[in-house]
Amino acid sequence: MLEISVSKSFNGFEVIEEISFRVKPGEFICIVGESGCGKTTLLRMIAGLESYEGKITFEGVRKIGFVFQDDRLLPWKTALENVLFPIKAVRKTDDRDIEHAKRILRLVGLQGFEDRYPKELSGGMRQRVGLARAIAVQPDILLMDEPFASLDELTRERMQEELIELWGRDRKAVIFVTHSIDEAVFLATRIIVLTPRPSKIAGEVEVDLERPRDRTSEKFNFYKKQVLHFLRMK
Amino acid sequence: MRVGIALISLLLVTLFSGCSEEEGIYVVKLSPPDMVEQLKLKQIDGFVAWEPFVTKGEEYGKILLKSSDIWRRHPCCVVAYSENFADEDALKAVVWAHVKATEFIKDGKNREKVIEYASEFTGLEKSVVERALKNIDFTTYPDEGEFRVYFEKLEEYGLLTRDLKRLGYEGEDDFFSDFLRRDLIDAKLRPAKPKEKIRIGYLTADLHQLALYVAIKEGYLDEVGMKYELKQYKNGVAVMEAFKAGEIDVAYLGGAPATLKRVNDDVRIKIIAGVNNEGSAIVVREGINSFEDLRGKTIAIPGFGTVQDFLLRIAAEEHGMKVISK
Amino acid sequence: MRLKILAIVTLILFWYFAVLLGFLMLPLPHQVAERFLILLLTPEPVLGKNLLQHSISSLIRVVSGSTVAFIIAVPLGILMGWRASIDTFLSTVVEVFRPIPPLAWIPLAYILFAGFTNPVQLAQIFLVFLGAFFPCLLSTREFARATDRNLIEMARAFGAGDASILREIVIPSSIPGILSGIRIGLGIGWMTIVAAEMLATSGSGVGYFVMVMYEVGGRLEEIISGMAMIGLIGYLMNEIVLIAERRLLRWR
Repeated sequence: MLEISVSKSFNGFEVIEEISFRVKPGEFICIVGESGCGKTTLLRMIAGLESYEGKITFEGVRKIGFVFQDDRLLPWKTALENVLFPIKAVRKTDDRDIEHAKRILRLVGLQGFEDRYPKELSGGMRQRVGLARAIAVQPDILLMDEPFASLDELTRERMQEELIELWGRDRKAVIFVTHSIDEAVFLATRIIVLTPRPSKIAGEVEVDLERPRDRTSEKFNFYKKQVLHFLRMK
Repeated sequence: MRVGIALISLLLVTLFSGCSEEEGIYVVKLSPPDMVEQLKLKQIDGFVAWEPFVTKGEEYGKILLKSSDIWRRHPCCVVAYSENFADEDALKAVVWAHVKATEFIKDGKNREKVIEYASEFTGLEKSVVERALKNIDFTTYPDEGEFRVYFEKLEEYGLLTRDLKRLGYEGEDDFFSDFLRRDLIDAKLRPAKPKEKIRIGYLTADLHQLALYVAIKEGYLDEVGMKYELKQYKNGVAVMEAFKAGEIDVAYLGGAPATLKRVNDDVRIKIIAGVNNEGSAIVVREGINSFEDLRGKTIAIPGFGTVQDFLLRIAAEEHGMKVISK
Repeated sequence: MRLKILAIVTLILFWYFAVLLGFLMLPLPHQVAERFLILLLTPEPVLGKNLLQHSISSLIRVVSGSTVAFIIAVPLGILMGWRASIDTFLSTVVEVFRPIPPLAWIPLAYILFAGFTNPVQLAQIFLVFLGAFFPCLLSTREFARATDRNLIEMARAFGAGDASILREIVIPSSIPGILSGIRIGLGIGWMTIVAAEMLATSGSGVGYFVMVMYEVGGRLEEIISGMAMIGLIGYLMNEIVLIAERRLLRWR
């Protein structure tokens, strides 16, 4: 589905030394690393928002969905209109699209809020609109950049559960960037751990846990330790 | 949307209030040289102006009505002074020079010289001024009876906004005995040497006011030891504004604006001499043959409240038309 | 609201006192009000038109000149805010002309339009255009430039092209600037036309009306009524755009 092998410098300042990995269809990849290691930059490269040295090849990927950390909703559009935006950007929308968007909003729990403007929604709700927007376009790969970082813990956990439930329905490929080990272990099928800057891959952890995952179980903890182990490496 | 309805109904009200008027003559304000230009370019249908622009305008059109046709022997320009100017000797000197110059103009022996002066004064060719001069009746004092018609008509047309009583007069007679001073004309003695410099205003290229130019060229003002400064204005209303601003002491201007602004703005002037009668006309382009034809057409005047504006209104009134600004 | 009424009443009382005590040589408010109403509907003797007709003459000029100005200024402003290269080029051109006040163009305007029918009208509309154009251009550009780059980036991540981004992001983002530019442009256009009419040798409109009333003399009630009309129209235009602003910007 996606093969990536890149490095990156900003003004002669090396951020990413060399990172290579593959993503297969149906994988939920979490990229973990401390702040400044370039994980967000990596995601942006895949989305085409950042330049790089190296190669990124897609196979069977026609559409990409992106969920930002700051929701980046258009303030002058309603929730529904925001969800329709990526679709509208490339072709004319019709009633079917509107029904589809409404369905997605229902899926993320925002039924009844379709005609609200972003200023009328809470932070968590806005993030969900952002998620709905990325899903609605039916992407082949979903890129998520610490989307729950700005939420409080309770909301965050709930959003993670809802995300996994949604993902479970059609198992798209997801690349999810986070600095929370808990979050990574809860969500991922595979975790890629990065070293600090200039970053390389410190290690990968395949998470073989059944869903729904119990955050308090021993096995959960086991995987956390594995991730920590890689994180401590230089 | 209530706002929208209100606006639209307002618009309709205005349009209807405009339409219900009988059509009249449309006027625009232009300086006489511009009038001739615009007539030539067919931008206007005609104009009312003083000589020599009437004769000049005949090159591009024809005279529809002379001012004498509208109002026979109507007084036109006068000499007035500001009450703030106290030097009686200077006033006598000005009047004396003016009377002498007027006599010079009327004397047939001086014909050649008069034409030459006229051409210099107005900047137009001798052939034009020669014909123009024939239309002007130079005089030394306006007929009071005729002059009062200015006052009565101005009042009738709603141009006067003040009551004579508010100005401090008992009535018309009281006003006119103050406004029109005859003593300087009747005393035609050679005056003593004036003390102060006098500022004289006049209208640019207005052939009616040739006497001023003659008085200067023939040296009459010098003869009486008059020190003077000349100032030009575009029409009689501008002259009255200059009086108001204290820019001039004496001026040549039309009787209508003099009366109009004297009353409306209480500009304290008095009339000490007459300059001419008649000498204006309505000039129109080809295709207009009677006053009726002017309905809905555009005529230029030198300004609102001038003698020319006044004459046009009289003529319009006689034909049942109104004068409307374009 | 009560304070607003109090302010106006105070002004009017002040006017009464100032005149009655001899400080101001003006007619009294009720005299002006009476004359205003008369002028509004009945034709005034010197110019033969009523005040509404004069106002419409002026309004026609302001609306046509401003409309042309906005139709050109808004797209240009958006483009200038969008691309730095366009901005640098056009800014230089604009800065050559912007500092020249519209009224300074009067002589040139008359010369430029001399060959057309109705040169005075066209010249005056042109002056309004000059007055309305620059504020609208600059205001639009300001807001277009300030478009949230994050939002543009989001659109690019979803594969949106330039046209979509301009249409769905830059333009909506610029609407506050466009509307305030229109509001200010109309205001300046209105001031310009009134002044131009006063300086004109012939024509029509409220500015012209006030000037002729001055020339003919003794018509303070007319002059003040004219001024009141001018102020009223300026105020109404402002309000109308503000209402539009509130409607269109409900998402704020």
